[in-house]
Amino acid sequence: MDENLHNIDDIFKSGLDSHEEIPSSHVWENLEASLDKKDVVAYKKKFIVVRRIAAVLVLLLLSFLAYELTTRNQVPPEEVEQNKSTEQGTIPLKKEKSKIKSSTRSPFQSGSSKEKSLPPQPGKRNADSLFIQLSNQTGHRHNQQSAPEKNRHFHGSIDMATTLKKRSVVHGVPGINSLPVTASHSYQQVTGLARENKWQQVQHLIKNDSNSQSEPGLLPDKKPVPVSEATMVFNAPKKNCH
Amino acid sequence: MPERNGLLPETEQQLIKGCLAGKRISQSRLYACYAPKMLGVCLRYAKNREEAEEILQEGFLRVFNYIHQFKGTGSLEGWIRKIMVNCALLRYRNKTGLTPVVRIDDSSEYTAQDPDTYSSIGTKELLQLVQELPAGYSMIFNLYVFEGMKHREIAEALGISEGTSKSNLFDARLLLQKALTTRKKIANYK
Repeated sequence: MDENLHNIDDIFKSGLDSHEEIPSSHVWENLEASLDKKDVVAYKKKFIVVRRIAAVLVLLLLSFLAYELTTRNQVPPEEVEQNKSTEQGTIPLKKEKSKIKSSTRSPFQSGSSKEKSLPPQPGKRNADSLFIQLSNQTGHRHNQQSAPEKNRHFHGSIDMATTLKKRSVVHGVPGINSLPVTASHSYQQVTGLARENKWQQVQHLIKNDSNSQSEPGLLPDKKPVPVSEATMVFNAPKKNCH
Repeated sequence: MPERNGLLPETEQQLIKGCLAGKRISQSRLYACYAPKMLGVCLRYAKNREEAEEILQEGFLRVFNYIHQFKGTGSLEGWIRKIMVNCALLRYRNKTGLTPVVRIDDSSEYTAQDPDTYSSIGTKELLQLVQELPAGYSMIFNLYVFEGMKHREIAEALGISEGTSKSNLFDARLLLQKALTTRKKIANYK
């Protein structure tokens, strides 16, 4: 029986080992279609790689352009340091002070020497102290201007309420110290009284202001006057009052 | 359909180079040369011609995809044949497991026959007998007889024990002998 079974192996091996059959035509067609599909996938992969490279290049270009724009818009470090120092108001204050002394005090140099040497008194008007304080509060916008030009016209908004409370700059009369002047009022609005440079008009307005039923401190809107003239007016009534 | 041409060793190298470059002409010529032989192999592992052609198509697709792994140490025909057998094995693994469908209880029925009595059976009948075997038996019989694999290798390839491989081969032989005897008797009766 076993020998007979092994003979069966030989029979099948000799009969089928060299067996060949021609496959159908659709086998090659399907195979070709599969190969084409594979090629398409390979091309797609290549295209994806190229697309990714292009995207990376575009990103690099954009980042380079952004870097260029930011570096162009940046202020040089020297200017930044200068701005910082002016914001603190330490160093420019001295410079401005010296400039103010040299420029704005020139009209007063013809006055008495006693007035210059005297320290500032609470009830007395002192133009220097006013200029110093105002220049401190104006900030760094006026730093690049020359001191005389800067101090002649104050168009910027200043926290004048605090200034007026401390020094009573406007009128120098007790009871009018706490004027309802807000930060939106400019120095010109506050000092608009003195633009005519005539003490009589000022005195008249002060009287009207104290007697009027309208709100005190709301000063008439007049044309801006150079500060130097205003200070002259401020200093003038002191002598007359005393 | 590409026509079949005989290949010389030089042209075989050229075809391999062409296939490596992805040339469709080289691929078609390689297919035309080896497809009939490989279909004969696939027919033994499949149940019918359609399934055999599916195995053939899948096998040639693998040949073209992995031809860069062919180092040229052996014959190209043997390498392609091995790929076809692996495709058939993979297809068999994806189907049901190796479970014997036919149980042969009594082997005393089978008597010794003269080998010459089977010589008159044609190739197509032999192929039909192999295809009619249960899937597990057919697979083990093909691997053992035609591929020359040992029972240990067959067990590793199919994920079964060596004893199972031996018993399944014995059963396959008995079934084939019985089928051959029956066919011979029918032929003599006619």
